[in-house]
Amino acid sequence: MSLERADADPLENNIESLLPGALDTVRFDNSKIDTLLSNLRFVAELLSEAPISFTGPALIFRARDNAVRAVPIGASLRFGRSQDNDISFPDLREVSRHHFTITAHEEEFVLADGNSANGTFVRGNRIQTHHLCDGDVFEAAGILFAFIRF
Amino acid sequence: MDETRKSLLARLKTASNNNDWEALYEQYRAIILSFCLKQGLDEFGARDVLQETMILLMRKLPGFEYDPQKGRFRNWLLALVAGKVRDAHRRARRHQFVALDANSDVDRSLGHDAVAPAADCSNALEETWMQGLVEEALRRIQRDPKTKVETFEVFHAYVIAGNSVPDVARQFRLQENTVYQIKNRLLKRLRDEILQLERPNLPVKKQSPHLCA
Repeated sequence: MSLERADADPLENNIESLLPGALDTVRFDNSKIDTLLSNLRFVAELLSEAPISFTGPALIFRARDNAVRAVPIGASLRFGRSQDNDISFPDLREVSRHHFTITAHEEEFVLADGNSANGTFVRGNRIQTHHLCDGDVFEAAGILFAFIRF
Repeated sequence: MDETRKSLLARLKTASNNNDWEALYEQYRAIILSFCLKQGLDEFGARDVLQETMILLMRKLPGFEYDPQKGRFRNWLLALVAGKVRDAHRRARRHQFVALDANSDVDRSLGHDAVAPAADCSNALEETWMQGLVEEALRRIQRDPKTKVETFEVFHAYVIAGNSVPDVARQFRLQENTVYQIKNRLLKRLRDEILQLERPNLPVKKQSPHLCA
């Protein structure tokens, strides 16, 4: 009777059986991830400088004084030039009065551009609405924002 | 491209923090993407899972010490990625329902079939993960300048495509014995490569000496 160690690695015994068909199964278009690493580095940098650790979803960005700010999103968050926004950049002309909004919907967060003059961009594409994933980086009026679920 | 966008891209490119997560990104990127595609996600969904996994690692890794006694790193990472894949399928289903609600002529039940996730069985998940590991190891061997193109082609024809030794020997004008030698040599390299891929580039927890009675 042969004994097999309880912690025997199934991979070690299976390499040859996994080989037939290998290399034919996956073809990933690398252009889909060519900006991912730089985005991740940007998020890592922001996270390392973020002042507070949150327990809920937040938007992180570098403010005009170069300090990193993390703003909790809650049910919704609006960004724009007008003072009635949750994040306001009153003296930046490129920012529209109500530039974008993030709204919690069930378990998801939806980024919606508020018909801004200069647009909101995700992965280089101008968007009207976009379902945010943890770590998404987007741009509005020359400012980069990162969405983190925490 | 305007100046603002150029400087933004430059900022993205230079904002580098060489942390553990980045080493893991290089090591596991292809395996995670491959796993996601095999679990039925499209390329955009796979990218999202890779991103979410890395963000999670970024937050978990500071202070993390890999303890081989507690299990294989592969299983820990697989559980994490499989959870993200399930989330991605749930998201896709919800988005499809929203789209279907907007078009009431379409039968809502179509949404279930169109994004049915692969069987959620841990053995099947592990096998898919291992398949990805083997494929990435093969790709690394294939890309290695030390690997002769013909050597890899012989290995591919015999071991991967499953042709018989006499057929492969005839096709490449080799002795049958040489075909076996190539198989054994590349299998050994494959095992070494998999070992490298399996060893996470993380601080390893030092074991305290065991006391024997």
